[in-house]
Amino acid sequence: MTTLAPPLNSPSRSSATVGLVTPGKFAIWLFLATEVMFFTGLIGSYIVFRAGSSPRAYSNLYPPATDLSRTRDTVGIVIEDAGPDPDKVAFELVDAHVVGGAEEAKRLMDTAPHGVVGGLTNDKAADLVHKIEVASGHARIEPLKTQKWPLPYDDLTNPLAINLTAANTFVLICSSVTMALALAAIRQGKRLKSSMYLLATIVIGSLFVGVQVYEYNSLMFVHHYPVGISPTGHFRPDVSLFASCFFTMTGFHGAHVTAGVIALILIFLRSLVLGGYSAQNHAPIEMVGLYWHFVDLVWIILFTIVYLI
Amino acid sequence: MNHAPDAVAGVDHDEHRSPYLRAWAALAVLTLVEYFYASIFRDVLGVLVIGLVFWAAVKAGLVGWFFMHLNQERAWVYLLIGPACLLAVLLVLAVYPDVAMQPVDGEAPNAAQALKTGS
Amino acid sequence: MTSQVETSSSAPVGHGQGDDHIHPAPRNMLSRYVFSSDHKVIGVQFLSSGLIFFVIGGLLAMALRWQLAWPWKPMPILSRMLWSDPSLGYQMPPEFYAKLFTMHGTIMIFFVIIPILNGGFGNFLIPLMIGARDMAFPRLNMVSYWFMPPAMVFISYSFLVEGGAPEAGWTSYPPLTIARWATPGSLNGQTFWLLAVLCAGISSLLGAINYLTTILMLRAPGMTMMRMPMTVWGLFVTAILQAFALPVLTSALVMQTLDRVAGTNFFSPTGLAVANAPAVVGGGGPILFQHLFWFYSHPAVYVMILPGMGMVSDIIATFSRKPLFGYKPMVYAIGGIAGLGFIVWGHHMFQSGMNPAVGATFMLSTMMIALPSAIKVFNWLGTMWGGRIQFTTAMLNAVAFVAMFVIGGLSGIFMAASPVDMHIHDTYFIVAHLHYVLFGGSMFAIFAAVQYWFPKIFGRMMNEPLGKLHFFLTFITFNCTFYLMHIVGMHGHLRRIADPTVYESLRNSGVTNMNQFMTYSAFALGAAQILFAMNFFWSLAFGPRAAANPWHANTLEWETTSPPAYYNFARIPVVHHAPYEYSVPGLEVDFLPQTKPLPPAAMLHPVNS
Repeated sequence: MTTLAPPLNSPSRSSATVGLVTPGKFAIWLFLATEVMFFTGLIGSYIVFRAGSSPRAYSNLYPPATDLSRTRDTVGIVIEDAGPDPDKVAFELVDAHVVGGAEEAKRLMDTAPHGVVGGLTNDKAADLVHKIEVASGHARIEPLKTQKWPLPYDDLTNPLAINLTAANTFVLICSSVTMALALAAIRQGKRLKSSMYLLATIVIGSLFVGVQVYEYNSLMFVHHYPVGISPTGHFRPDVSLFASCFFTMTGFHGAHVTAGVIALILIFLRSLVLGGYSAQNHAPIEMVGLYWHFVDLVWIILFTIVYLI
Repeated sequence: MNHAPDAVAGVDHDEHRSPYLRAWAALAVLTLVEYFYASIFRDVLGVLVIGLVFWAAVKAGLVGWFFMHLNQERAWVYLLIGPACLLAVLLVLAVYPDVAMQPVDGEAPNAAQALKTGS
Repeated sequence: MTSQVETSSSAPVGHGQGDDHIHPAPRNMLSRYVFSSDHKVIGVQFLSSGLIFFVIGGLLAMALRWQLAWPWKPMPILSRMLWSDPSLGYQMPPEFYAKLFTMHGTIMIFFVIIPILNGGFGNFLIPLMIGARDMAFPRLNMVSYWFMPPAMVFISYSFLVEGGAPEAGWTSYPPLTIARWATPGSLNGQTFWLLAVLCAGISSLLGAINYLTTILMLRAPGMTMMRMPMTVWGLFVTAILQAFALPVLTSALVMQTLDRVAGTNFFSPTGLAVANAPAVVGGGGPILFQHLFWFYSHPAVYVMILPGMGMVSDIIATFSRKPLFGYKPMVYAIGGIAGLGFIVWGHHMFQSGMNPAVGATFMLSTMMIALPSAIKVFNWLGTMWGGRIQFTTAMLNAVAFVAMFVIGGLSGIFMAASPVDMHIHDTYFIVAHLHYVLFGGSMFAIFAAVQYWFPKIFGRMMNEPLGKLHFFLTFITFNCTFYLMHIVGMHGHLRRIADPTVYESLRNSGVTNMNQFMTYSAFALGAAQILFAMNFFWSLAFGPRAAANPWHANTLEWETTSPPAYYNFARIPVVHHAPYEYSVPGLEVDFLPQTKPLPPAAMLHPVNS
C-alpha cells in the first residue's frame, strides 16, 4: 500500500492539503459522517425489514402482502408467449372469467413472457393452458411459490434489471476515477487537464442519473409487470414494502448524485476562470471530490444489497 | 507557482495517476466478480449474502482508501468516520430483534401445529 | 485563499482566522441584522425567535391545564373565539386537547429549548469564548438560521390547515400519523409537522457541523481543549450528539413523510386500514419508527440539558468566586453522558412490546447514566462549598437548575427500571419527570444564561430585583405545578387524556383538587414569565450600561467590549490558563482572566493545575 502513496517530498504532499486539517476539510468529513448516519437510517431499515419480512409476504401468483392462507391449493398459469394474435388469447382469458375484463386481459398480454394469472384450480389451469395453445399462444402451469422477499433474477417477483444497473455501477465508478484524476491534475498545477477531467465527471455522472431516470420511467410507467410484483402492473413506491425501500434508497442516492453534479458544474465553471484553482488552491475540488466518492461508495453498497441480494 | 509542480510532475506523472487507475481497474473487475457471483449463488442465500457483502466491502474500501485518500489522511478522519460506522452497526443490531425477529402471524409453532392437525 | 493553506500548514491546530484582519461590519442594514452572517446577530435571532415560541408554547400549556382542572368547562373568551362552537356548548373538542399537547411538546422542544440553548447561546458564545472572530463558516451559519423560519411557518400553519394541527404527540408515532383518516390532525397537519421538524433538524445539523469545526479549528492561541470553559464543552458535546444522531431522525421523518404523501409502506402494518379508508399494502414496522425516532430524540434530551450544564458550571464558578471543582471529571462526565446517551434510547419503549432482552440492555445502560450525572451534581456542590457566593439572579437560577435536576434525575431512575416503568409509563409521573428536567433544568439554565450574558449580548444590565422576583415566583410556582404530578402519576393519572374523570380511580376530590391546584400554579407560573419579559424589554431599552466584565469573570467573552464589536476582538487574545482561576492566593483581585498570565508565585488548586 505504501508504494502507491506519493513519497513524502513529492509536490502533491507538500503543496496540497492532503493529511492536513483545514476547517473546510474537517467539515466535509464531518458532513460525510452525518451522511453515513442518514443512509444508515434508510439502509438499516431496509436490512431489518428484509430480514423480518413474513415468509409469505411475496408470491409468484398474487400481489405482495396478500393473505395467502385461503389460496394455499391454487395454482396459476404463466403466459410465456401471446402468439401472433394476442387478442385471441386475451379473449380466452376473458371468456374463462379469470381476469377482470378485456382491458386487464390486454394488459396481461403486454407482460408476456411473464403474464401471470393466479387463483386457479389445477383443472382450470390445465384447461386454460390448452385453450391458449389453441389460440396459438404459449403458457405453462405455475404452482404457488411464496417467498420472504423478491429475489434477484426472479422475473415473477422482482422487476429490477440487474444487467443495466451493473453497467450503471461501472459508469459511476468511472466518474469516480475521473474525479480523482481531476484532483491529481490540479495538484500538479495542470489546470486545463483538471477542467477536462471535471467535465468528464459531470458527463459520466449525468449519464448515471440519466440511466436511473430511464430505469425509474420503465419501472413506474412503461413496463407491465406480473401480479407478483404489483397488482397494477406498474412498479411504484406504494405497491410493496420492497418497492418503498427501493425507491426511497435509490431515490435519495440519485438526489445526492444530482446535487453532486450541480456542485461539479459550479466548480467546473470556476475552474475555467483564470486563477480559479491552482496547485496551491483547490480546496473546493477536493471537497466536492470527497462527496462524490462517498456517493459512489454508497452506490456500491446499494447495488449489492438492493439489486443482488 | 504553477510551473514548479509542473516541472516535477513530468517525472512522477505516472506515479500520481497509476494508483487511481489501478483502483479503477480493480473496481471494474470486482463489479464483474460481484455480477457473476450473484448469478452463480443466486439460490444459496447465506453464501450469496456473505460473499456479496465481502466484495462490496472490498470495493467500498478501495474507493475510500485510494479515491478519498484515506491512505494519506491522519487519525482525525477515522475519529469522525469510525464512530459513525460503529453507531450504524449498533443501530441495526439493536433494531434487529424488534423488527426482524417478530413472530409471524400464523407461522408461530402452535399455529402451524393447529393447521397440521386440522387438515 | 492561499493564506488558509499556509496557516494550516504552519500551525497544526488551525488558526484559520488567527490573522489579525479586522473586517468592517456590513453597512447594509439587511445584511447586517437580517441576513447576517455575524454569529452574534444569528445568536440573537435564534434567541428571540425561541422566546417568542416560548410564549406560544406556554399559552398552549395554559389551555391544557384549564381542561385538566375543569374538564369540558368552556374557557372564557378563548373557547368561543378559537376552538369551539355552540354545537359543542363551547367545550373544548377532545381532539383539540390532543392538538394542544402535541404542539406544546413540539414547540417547546424543537422551537424553544434546542434553538435557544444551541442556536442562541451556542452561536453567541462559542466564538467569543474560544477567542475567534466568527464561526468557521459564517454563511453556513446564516443558512442554518434561515432554515428555522420555514419550520416556524410550517408548524404555525399546521393549526390552519383542514383538520388542524397534528394530534399524535410530539413523538409522532405511526400508524396514527400515517393513516390520514385516523384523526383530524393526521389529515394534513401531520405533514406540516413533519416538514417543520425536518427543517428545524437541518438547521440544527448545519449548526452542529459549524460548531464542531469552529471549536476544533479556530481556538485562540493557548486555548487548549482542556482550557475551554464548560459552556463550550457542553455545546461541543451537544454538537457531536446532533451530528451523529440527527440524521437518523431525518431519515425516519423522511420515511414517514413518504408514507403519507407517496404511499410507501415503511411504518404501516400489513393491510392497515383506518376509518374505512382503503387498506394499504403495508408490511412495514411501526415499532421501527419508535427506534429511529428515539435514536435521535433520546440524545436530544441531552442536547437540551448539556449546554445548560455547561453554562451553569460557568455561572456557579463565577458567583462562588472559586475554581470549578473537578474540571476534568466534569468534562469526562459530559462525555460519558453523551456516550451513554447514544445507547439508551430503548428506555422510552419498554412498553412498546420490544424484545425483553434488548429492554434489559437498555435498562442497564440507562442506570449507568446516573454515574456521570451524579459526578456533575457533586462537583457543582463542591464548587459552591466554602465559596463566597454572590446570590445574583443568574446564580439563583443556576442553583435552582442543580436542585431541580437532582429531582428530575432521580425520578428518571424510577422509569429506567423497566418493572417500575410498567406502572408509571404514560402517566403524569413521566410528565413530572420531563418537566423537572426540561423546565427545572433547561429553562432555569436559560433564565440564568440570559441574566448572565445579557450585558454581553445587549450591552446593558438586567434589573436584579425584578429578576429575583421573577426567579422566586417561577421557582415556587414551578414546583407547585409539577411536583404534584409525581403523586397523581403514581396514582395512575394517565398523560395525554383530556378528561381524567372518565376513570373511577381518578374521580375523587384528591385528584381533582390536586389538578386544580396545579392549574392555578401553572397560571401563576405563566404570569410570572411576564416579569421576565418586562425585565428583558425594559433592560434592553433603559438598563444601565454594562461594563466589559460586570461579573468579574475569567472567560474570554468578558475581555472584549459589551456588546462586542463586529470582529469580536481587536486583537486575537492569547490564553494563558484555565478559565476558573478565581480567588488565586497572592492576587489583589479575586479573578484572573484567561488572557492574563498566572503570577509566578501563584498557588493553584491542585485539581486545576
